[in-house]
Amino acid sequence: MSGELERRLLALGSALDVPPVPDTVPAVLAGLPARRRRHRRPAGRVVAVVFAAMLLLVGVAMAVPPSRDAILRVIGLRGVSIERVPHLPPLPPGATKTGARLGLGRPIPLASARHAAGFTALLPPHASGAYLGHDVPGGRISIVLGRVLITEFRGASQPIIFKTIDPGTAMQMTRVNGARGVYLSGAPHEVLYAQPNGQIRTDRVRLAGNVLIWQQKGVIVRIEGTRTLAQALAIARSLRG
Amino acid sequence: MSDVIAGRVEPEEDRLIAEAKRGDQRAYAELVTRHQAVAFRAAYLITGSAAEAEDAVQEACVKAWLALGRFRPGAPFRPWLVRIAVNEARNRRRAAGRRAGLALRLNPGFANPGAVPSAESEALAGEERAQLAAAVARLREDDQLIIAARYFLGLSESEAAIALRLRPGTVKSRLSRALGRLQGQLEAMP
Repeated sequence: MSGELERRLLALGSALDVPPVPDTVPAVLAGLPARRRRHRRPAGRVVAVVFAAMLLLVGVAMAVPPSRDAILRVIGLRGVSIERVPHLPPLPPGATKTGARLGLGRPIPLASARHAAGFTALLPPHASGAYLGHDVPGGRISIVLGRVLITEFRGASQPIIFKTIDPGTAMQMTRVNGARGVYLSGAPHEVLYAQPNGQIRTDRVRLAGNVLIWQQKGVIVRIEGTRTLAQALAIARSLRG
Repeated sequence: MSDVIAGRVEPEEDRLIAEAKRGDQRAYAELVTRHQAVAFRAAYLITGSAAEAEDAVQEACVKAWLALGRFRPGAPFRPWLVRIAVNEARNRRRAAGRRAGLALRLNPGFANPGAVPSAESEALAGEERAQLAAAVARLREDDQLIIAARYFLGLSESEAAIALRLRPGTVKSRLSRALGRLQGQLEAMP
């Protein structure tokens, strides 16, 4: 009895419909946290961006198709790419945390934020401020929620946001409102944007904190500054288009 | 194919594990390359979704990396990774509110290798496979998992024990009971 049944089960195993196996190695490597904890940068230390180096890094990443594919597969979001680098360049002299928080664009009434840019923004039920920037294709909406910043862009077929993270940044894949997302936490990471003219620029001089990023209804959403993923997911659930 | 032969790990894989434990990501990438297929297959059978399975395998590989320090030297890596992937896949399925049970969909284009069957015999074989899949799907999940480990993932008994967190001695008896219940399901089917 058993021998025949085993033969049939083996045959069934061969006949099962299983999709082609994806190559998870690039995403796994990108998601590996540093094994040795890096020492923290001293609080308030002025750090700088070596802009040319970042441009070169992103330029190389985007110019080589296999590399670009690997990066896009890291998080599976069109419009966003993440590259792990050995270390982040420091910010330029003179940059401060306060200054780094500027550059969100011009303040706009929250009531008009939903349709102020070239896409329909997703808004939380309450916010303390909203800003409109035109530094990326389609514009960007920034919403301030106390210490939390929500930034939204129009989704794109090509990456318009590039994040470079160092080995101290943990990258966790997650689901956000039914879509695939990624949560970056730990060490700071650099944010770069493709401008409407195609040029890459840094997001001012700000090094981002914990960030949840995903794409929903054609909008790339970034929630920055929460202490935990659960907190970021709760804010994500409250967003309405 | 696996480097695991009769429960022993070949030196090449042992070396990769040792290097990965020391922090060598290239060695770890090689281990993932070798075993991601079986981990993905396990995760897909549990989640029924290619995207969920891919996420589960990625997460499992990262968790395995973090836990490498506790990995016993000489132990096989493949079933250990499968175990983490299975746990991850089950957690994701639970979080999504889907019911337990494996996704046993048949490949409509599957043709039995070897013989050149007639259309009739191939149709009959397909019918038989569909009936068997339905019978497996009626079993409780523990039974489904042990059957899947042995026949759908191709794990040895010792590997199945590691993958399903069972004592090595219990795999044979559990499998025997699961096959008995499967036989009962088949006999009860019209």
